Amino acid sequence: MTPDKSSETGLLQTEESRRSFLGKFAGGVFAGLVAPAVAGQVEPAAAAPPSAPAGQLTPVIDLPEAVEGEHPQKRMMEDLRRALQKPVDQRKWAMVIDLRKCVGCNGCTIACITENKLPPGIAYRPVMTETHGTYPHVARRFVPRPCMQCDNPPCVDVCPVHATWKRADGIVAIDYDKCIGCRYCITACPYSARSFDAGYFYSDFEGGERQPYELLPSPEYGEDRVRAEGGSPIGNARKCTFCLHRIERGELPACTLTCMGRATYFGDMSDPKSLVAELIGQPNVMRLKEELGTDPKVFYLT
Amino acid sequence: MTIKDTTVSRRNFLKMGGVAAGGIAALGALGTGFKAVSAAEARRRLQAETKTAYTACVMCPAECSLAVNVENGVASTIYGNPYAPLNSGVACAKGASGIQMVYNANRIKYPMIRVGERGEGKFKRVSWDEALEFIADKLMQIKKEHGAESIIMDAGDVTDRDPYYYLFRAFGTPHTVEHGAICDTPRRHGPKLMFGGKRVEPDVMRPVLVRQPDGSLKNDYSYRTRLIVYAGWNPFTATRIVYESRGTVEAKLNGAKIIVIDPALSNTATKADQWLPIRPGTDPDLFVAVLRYILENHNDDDPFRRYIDWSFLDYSQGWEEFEAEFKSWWNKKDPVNGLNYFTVEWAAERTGLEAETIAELAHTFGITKPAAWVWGMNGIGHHYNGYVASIIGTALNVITGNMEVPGGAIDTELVKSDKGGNAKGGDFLKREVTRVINGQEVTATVDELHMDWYGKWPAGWDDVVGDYPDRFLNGVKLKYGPFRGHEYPIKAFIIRTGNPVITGSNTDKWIEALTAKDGDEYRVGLVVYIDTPFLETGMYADVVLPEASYLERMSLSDIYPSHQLIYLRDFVIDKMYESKTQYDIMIALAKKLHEKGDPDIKPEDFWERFPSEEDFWNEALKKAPGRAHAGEPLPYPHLPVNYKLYGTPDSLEAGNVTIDDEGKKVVGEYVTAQWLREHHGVAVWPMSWYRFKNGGVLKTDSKKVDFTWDYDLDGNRKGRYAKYNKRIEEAGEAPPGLQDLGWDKYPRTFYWFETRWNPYTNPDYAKYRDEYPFQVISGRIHHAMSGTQMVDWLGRLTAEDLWVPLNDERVVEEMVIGENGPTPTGRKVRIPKNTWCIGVIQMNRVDGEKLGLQTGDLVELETPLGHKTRGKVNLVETIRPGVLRLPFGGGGRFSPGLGKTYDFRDETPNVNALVDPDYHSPIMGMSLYGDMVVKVKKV
Amino acid sequence: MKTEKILWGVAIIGFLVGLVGLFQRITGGHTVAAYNTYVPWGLWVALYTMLIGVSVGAYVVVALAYGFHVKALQPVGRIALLTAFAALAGGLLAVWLDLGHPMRFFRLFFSTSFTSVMGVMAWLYTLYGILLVVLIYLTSKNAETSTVRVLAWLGLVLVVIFGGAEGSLFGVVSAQALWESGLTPILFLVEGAFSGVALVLFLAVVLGKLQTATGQILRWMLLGLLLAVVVLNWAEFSTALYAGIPAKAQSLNVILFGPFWWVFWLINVGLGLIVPLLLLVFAGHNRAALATAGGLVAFSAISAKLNLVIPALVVPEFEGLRTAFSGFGLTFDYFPTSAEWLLTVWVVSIAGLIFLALYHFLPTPASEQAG
Ligand SMILES: Nc1nc2c(c(=O)[nH]1)N[C@H]1C(S)=C(S)[C@@H](COP(=O)(O)OP(=O)(O)OC[C@H]3O[C@@H](n4cnc5c(=O)[nH]c(N)nc54)[C@H](O)[C@@H]3O)O[C@H]1N2
Ligand SMILES: Nc1nc2c(c(=O)[nH]1)N[C@H]1C(S)=C(S)[C@@H](COP(=O)(O)OP(=O)(O)OC[C@H]3O[C@@H](n4cnc5c(=O)[nH]c(N)nc54)[C@H](O)[C@@H]3O)O[C@H]1N2
Ligand code: SF4
Ligand code: SF4
Ligand code: SF4
Ligand code: SF4
Ligand code: SF4
Ligand SMILES: [Mo]
Repeated sequence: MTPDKSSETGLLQTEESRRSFLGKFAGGVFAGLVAPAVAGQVEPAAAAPPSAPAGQLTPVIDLPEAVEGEHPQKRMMEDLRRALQKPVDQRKWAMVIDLRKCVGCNGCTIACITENKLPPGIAYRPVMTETHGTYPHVARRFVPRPCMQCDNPPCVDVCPVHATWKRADGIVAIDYDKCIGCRYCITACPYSARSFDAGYFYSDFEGGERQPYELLPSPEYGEDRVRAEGGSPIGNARKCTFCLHRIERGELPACTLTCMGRATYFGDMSDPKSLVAELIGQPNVMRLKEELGTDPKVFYLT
Repeated sequence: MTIKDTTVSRRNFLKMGGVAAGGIAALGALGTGFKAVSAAEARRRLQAETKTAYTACVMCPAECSLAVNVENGVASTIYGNPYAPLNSGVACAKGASGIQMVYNANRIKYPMIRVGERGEGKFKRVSWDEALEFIADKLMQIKKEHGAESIIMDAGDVTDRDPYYYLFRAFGTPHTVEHGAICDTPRRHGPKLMFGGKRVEPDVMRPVLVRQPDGSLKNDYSYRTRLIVYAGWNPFTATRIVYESRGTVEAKLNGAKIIVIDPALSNTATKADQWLPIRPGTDPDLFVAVLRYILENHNDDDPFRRYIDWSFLDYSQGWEEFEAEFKSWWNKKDPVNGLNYFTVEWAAERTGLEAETIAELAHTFGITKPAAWVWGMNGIGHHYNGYVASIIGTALNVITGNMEVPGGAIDTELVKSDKGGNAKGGDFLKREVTRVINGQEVTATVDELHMDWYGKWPAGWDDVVGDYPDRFLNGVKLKYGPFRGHEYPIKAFIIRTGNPVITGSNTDKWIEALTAKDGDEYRVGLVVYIDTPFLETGMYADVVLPEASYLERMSLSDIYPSHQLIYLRDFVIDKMYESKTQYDIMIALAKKLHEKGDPDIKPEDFWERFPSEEDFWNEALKKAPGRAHAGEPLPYPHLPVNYKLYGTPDSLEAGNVTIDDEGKKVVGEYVTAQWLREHHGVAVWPMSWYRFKNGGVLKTDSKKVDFTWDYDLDGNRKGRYAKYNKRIEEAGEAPPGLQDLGWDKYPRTFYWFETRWNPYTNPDYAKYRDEYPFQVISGRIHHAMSGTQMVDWLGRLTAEDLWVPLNDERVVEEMVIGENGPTPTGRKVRIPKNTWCIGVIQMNRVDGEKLGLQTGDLVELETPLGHKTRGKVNLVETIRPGVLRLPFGGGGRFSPGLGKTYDFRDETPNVNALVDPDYHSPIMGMSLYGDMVVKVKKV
Repeated sequence: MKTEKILWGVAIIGFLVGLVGLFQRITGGHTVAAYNTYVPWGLWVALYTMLIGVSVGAYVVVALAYGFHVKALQPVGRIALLTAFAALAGGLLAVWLDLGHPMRFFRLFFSTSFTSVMGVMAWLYTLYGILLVVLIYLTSKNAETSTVRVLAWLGLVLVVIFGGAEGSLFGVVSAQALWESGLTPILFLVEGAFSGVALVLFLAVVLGKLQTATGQILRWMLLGLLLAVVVLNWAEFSTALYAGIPAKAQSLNVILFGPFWWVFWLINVGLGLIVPLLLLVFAGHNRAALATAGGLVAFSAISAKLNLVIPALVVPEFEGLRTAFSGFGLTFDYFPTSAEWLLTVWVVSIAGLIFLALYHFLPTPASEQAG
């Protein structure tokens, strides 16, 4: 069915641990009616077994030694390497965004777009501005919104064709070749973190001739798809992948790397020595719409 | 499930893509789902041809160091370079968007010559040879008829302009200008007078490389700053000093307090502990009140009132006189409010802030150390009396002991790496030329022909672009110096990477000047526009030249770090279309001029001296870092103190140097482009503090901090103003700016005068208060100046209530810059409602409600001088009532090269349509964008 | 026969006009539509749910006629059966064209996820579709057999399940406050029955198959369903507004007072409920009035579904998203494009043509001939 992914960089190890979601939803009688028939349904395993990443890791940046502490980028890259040495199912990727440090520059929004070669109308990480109060008592903050990589992702269970699933390392992935583009998952995501690739090109609004950067393959999921050729991911649901293709090579996600306010951190929260684990342990942590029980793995410091 | 597996080569499908994509996209959308190149195959090919290039950004003047990934010759992603401490791996939205600027349908692709009238936008494609022939002929003719001084070479906002300076200086004009001239000269005035510097910034660049007691060099990440005051300075959006984004918030988390003084809740203000929404144009009033409070309430014996750190007296001169002059105002009463000058109550009346707030601000700043008092372009530099704020701001940092202490304030101009040197062509300005004045032959140097220094603005240090329209229309008359009495017209305007028609004061005046005719001929006979995108000024050019974008050329960064570092701008991708680099253009035009017999252009100065681009920039690098070796911890303990250092960090570290005791310099191995390339594109020399000690990096005549500017030093008249005062005295006539102030020369020390066009502080303008109830200011958006508004991604990012998705639904005729300039493509493009950000007028909600307005209503703004612009209002809580803020470069953009921004030109405001064209700051002639009042009418 | 010709004419014109929409959809993909990221479902999904609803409703008549042998309904049994089939076909066609990758629809069968209501639905539709075909075949021979009866019953079970499941497709989406409700499935079922029965009534009158008794049964069924629709909607609106769940209340506000308030008040309530109510109550013996009432209900069903699908989606998950990053699809304003309307016309016309073709070319069963 799908192209032979195991031969690639082992980027797509799947995991079939899946929570039964029906209980959670107030779906009512009718969902209930169909549920018994499907309980215990197991999904086809789609990719290679969990293992350490294949291929070469990008070297950790080599900066002069620090008087104390160290460059966060360096530290996070080292955290990444430790995580990559573990089997996939023992990694638990998490992102921490320090809202006290986000300066609202939108660098992450654009870096993500360029990294993932996103078309017009798609931004995996918009930065939302929240303003409260009346003059002169006005407060404003910026809230970047990547995919929360919910531990309990409502987007997954609604997919009728197993095109989206939660990986062993917690990243919610989409198989573009399987996705039929029904957009049910988009409606189901409480964070609006999924987008529809309707098939626009920047050049549609600028002379019509495809721009060189639109013809570059998107590295998402390590698949290097050339969107300009018309196939998937056009017509698919798309979302932030925590830059899976980068982290698997030992690089930080684009948004983390570029972050002007150094407000974004990334790493393996199951590793107590990691920077993110340290940050998540702080008292000022919050998550978005926590009450929904989605269990996001994007943490905000306030 | 690969339905179709082709093996088209990438290059082919790049071509094919354009043609076929439409049709294929359609099929694909219906879901054929084929993939042309298998994933594994694509990846393999890619990895084979992927590289990372280190270079420097110019999407904005912060010029961050970048790591650009290139796939098959196409720049694919842009990230910050982690090895450059300035940005330390980060890049902003503009930086990341660079690829959409480089690969833009609206780039100038070929040389073009105008075929219609100026402003019509009608051009025809020509060869480089034809274009240069045209220019060279005109230049030769102008030089012959009027002298080379009738030519202006203006390099707008992008700093790597040395080749142009070199060429035009060699050709003989003293008028080589850069964007600083319409940027912030009043803002820099204080540091320049008092330190010989320019920009005071907080010490929050981290990491900094510091010599350790054990002799090693280590990165220091610690923030020591306890307080930062940002007045009219918004580094989070106006990303000029890039490390202030992360530095400010990190310093804050490390215990610093942040105070932002701004009429609007800027992005920087969102992170402030305190936001002081000041009335525009009254920052000097606030600053002087803070100084008076500090002087009046300082008490050496009270630890809670010990504001002043008297040690500054050791490294400064003239304080007593300054203080006396400052205090001489204290007993005078202000005619506007009847209060004593500079008291907090007086300042409260003017600034619209509470007296207690001002007192608290003064106390907090006085008592909290280390601290930095920082002021910006728009808040200070763009107002008539911004100088006062700049001088007082500098003084505040000095007397409280915050200059050059760890965590305090740093004048970045003094400590950044030097560069340029002989590659700037400064020597050419010292050549002698002869002019006939009133029948007499006078011989003096080229730079003595300068229209500002010897004309209207002797202190116009960075030149005065602000009144070019006036010079274009009325010519130049020199009043000072050897060429006194010499008159000449301006006949050629070469503008490179600048867009004064939109960014200079008053768009209509610029247009008038560029289109004025004498008979059939345009008065400014030659206008050449050299740039990458096609902006409004290009519409008025006779010749348009495509310059290679910043990813296609080589040069050096121009940055404001806390210690010396420099990086290379390098070739990342191939030059696109027919664009040429600055070096290419310099050499090609030089050859043309030489062929035509110009005696000043000599092969040995050009192609023989710099056979390759790299040779040219290596020459410029010889000056690096070029600063006095000073401070603690001393960067190179084995090298002599206060000697100037030259050479790579490696060679200095290794002691691989020659020491010149006479010239007081240490020369190691010169930095070269190749050396930089081998070191991630960056050279980093170590940081130190206390660099004013024993003169250190100070560049004043006294080698101390100057509180007086025309003084006697060892029997010589010294100080920044001394030289102009001498000229004025010789000529017996003060320049017009000073005359406006009623002065006969530049003051020796502290001075005060009122701003104009401000009905709240200047009695002459009080009459406008009722009829024109709004003050107009501007602010940056996530665009760089007026140059990136065609970048789709940036167009979609909301910024500070100034740039928001409030567009109408429209179907527009698509235009792109084609072979012959702006060309309709014949396609119609639909832009649905609320899907594209447009520039709007930020207005306080209460003001809007009073006028019966709603967000999105179109209004017209009109000044007392009758200038108008229109735009939609955005009613918000984030701005002081009575103030309207407009996006800089965000509206009324009539160059068809601006994509969707152009499509909404009729409903977006151009702030510079409103500026008084004859309003210049009195000392340096800077355009003043920040003082104007308007009335608002619903359309 | 004359009216049948008119119907043919209308359907053919609709088909031809709608072809433009189909052409746009094929050449422009999804760029021709206004739905996208923030409002991922639009008119076509509303059309699909509406047509499925109609199918459910029409099937109720079928089940009563053939399963429960309600004699008076037998004359319209075939109309109802064909309606159920044509509506199902049209609904599936609408949602098929709405898919990002229509060619991959087969994955719904080969790779079904049964945790997804949509996955389950795919199979239910298939079963139901087969059942309808079998019934059409059987009834065209003899509607009186026990096989028909059993199948008709079975069909009813299916219809109740998927009619409701159709609702739970929305009901389980806890991200959308407006949909997330235990009532949604029931509402779907009842609204579906309402519109389907109405359409059968309309067609019966127009095609001259309405006997007096049939008319009265259908009339009372419609009145009953109308009452149920009103009660259920009332319950839904009032509890939500009373409880004040912000997002839900916001959606309801959009429905009641938003820019398209008239869709709810004039079309849904006015044309879809009040006018039919008045006609059914006061002019229930007039065929024209019955047809009008039926037609209006069926017609306004699309607006009812639009009002379910769209208002939920036009309320941002976070207010800040409105301005965070703008662009195509990144707006919470939704209004169908001309291509969407045209394609809707096309799909409805196709359904109409299917109905007419079956109606015209299949032999009329004995039960009807009797009447
Ligand atoms: N994104 C972006 N970054 C840029 C640039 C750009 O165009 N775009 N340009 C670069 C250049 S050349 C420069 S000079 C800098 C400019 O840097 P800044 O001067 O920091 O930028 P501005 O946004 O013009 O102005 C800063 C603030 O001044 C406020 N202001 C206006 N009038 C007054 C006043 O009278 N008093 C006070 N206290 N505040 C006032 C405005 O509300 C605004 O928030 O930015 C540089 N960086
Ligand atoms: N009302 C008002 N007016 C203002 C100001 C204000 O705040 N308010 N600010 C003033 C200030 S501070 C300044 S510095 C001036 C600036 O005014 P200018 O010096 O006229 O600068 P711009 O032309 O707007 O912008 C930068 C130029 O660089 C060119 N460029 C060439 N190559 C590249 C490239 O590769 N990348 C990018 N980004 N640009 C490239 C762009 O085309 C553009 O011409 O405007 C001043 N005018
Ligand atoms: S945020 Fe949305 S898309 Fe991401 S995992 Fe959660 S539900 Fe799915
Ligand atoms: S759009 Fe794709 S991923 Fe989302 S639910 Fe449908 S098939 Fe699954
Ligand atoms: S992790 Fe990667 S995909 Fe996700 S928002 Fe950040 S840059 Fe985008
Ligand atoms: S890059 Fe960092 S600072 Fe800038 S908007 Fe994104 S999270 Fe905030
Ligand atoms: S701050 Fe300026 S120089 Fe730095 S990345 Fe952004 S645009 Fe480029
Ligand atoms: Mo500037």
